[in-house]
Amino acid sequence: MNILYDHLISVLIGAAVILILATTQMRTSQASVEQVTSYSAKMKALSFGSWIEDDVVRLGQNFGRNRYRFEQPVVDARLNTTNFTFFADSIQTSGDSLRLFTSYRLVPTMTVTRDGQERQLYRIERFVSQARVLGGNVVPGTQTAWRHDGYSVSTLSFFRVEMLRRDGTTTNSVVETDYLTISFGMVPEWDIRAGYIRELFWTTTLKIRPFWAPVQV
Amino acid sequence: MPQTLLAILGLGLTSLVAFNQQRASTQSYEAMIKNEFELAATGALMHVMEFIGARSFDERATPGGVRSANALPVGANDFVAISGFGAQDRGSLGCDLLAPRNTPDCDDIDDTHGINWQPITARLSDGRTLPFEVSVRVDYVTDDSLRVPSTTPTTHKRVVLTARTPYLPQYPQIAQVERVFSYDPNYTESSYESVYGPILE
Repeated sequence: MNILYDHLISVLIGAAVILILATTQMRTSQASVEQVTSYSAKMKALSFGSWIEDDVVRLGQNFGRNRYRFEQPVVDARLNTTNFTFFADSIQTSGDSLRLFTSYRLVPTMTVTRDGQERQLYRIERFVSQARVLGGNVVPGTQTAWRHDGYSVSTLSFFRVEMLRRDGTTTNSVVETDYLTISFGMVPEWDIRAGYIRELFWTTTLKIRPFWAPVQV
Repeated sequence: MPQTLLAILGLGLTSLVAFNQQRASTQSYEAMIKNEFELAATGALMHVMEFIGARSFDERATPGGVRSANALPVGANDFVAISGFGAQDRGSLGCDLLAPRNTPDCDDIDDTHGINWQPITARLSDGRTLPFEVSVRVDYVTDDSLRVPSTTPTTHKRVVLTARTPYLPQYPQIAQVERVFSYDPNYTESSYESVYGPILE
């Protein structure tokens, strides 16, 4: 006991040093985890964004003046787009056309609580199908079954497809649509802190085909 | 006495390490926040850029301009000089960068020149929004590189959009995008025809 009392100040200072170093170490680890999760979420958002852009650029390919090149997006009560189906034609060597159907389907996955509010998270799945085309129309009975093509992204906090005219106003008419605005929110795979989620917001607006038939502003 | 001094020195050094770690952590956190704003701002700027590009190339190439001249523009000499960029003919309502329909007089690309930190909003889910402010600069660029500004009219206009956010006032800009738009007679003609009907040759 006497030894402890003799070195009381040293013991106190040693304990303080150990406490400070332990806290520092803990915070450094937490910051590293946060950086990695944030970076991975950003990479995932950019990859998904690039995949969407590739699809939208091809939307309506080889459709000529036909402006019915996608179906009106299906929207849920939270204004998320739950189903978005669009088409493009591929011209084969024989001269026949093959219609390529692509569908994004939003699947609810889990809920997280943030600021006392429950937030739904989603996964996007991409399905494809194809059918023979004759005279601009799909030959009945030739469309293949929808199949999952492997592309899938999870931990989305929302996904929205909006149809815009050339003058920037929204429309519900597929044939009046000149631009599509696609937005989504992406949250990291791992919780960083309880009750707290980071969210990356990604959006793009793209002119869709036909590029050469603008309507009046 | 020497032991006490050593103990104080040890405590001081440990505090310094903790302080540096805290500072690095704060900087890293700020960089992550900025990163997220950059991503959102770039998307918002892409939207603005598309709707600047949806406007006519020049006042002379608007449906009204073509009708007044009774002909499509045939070359760079038909286009407005740089001194005519900006507020000259965009009307009292200015330019709505997100919905051109609200400002019908802001009908060609160079009308947006000189817009200085106009507020725009990026919509998230559940009614949440992110505010940004956008500046627009338009230049003619030369045919050769499409990057060198030209003092005389050419058939190419470069639009530079810069964004900042009031949430990060320490950054004068958080995203910048640029695109060159070139005069397209077919696009001009179809724009005219969508308003006034076929051009009679």
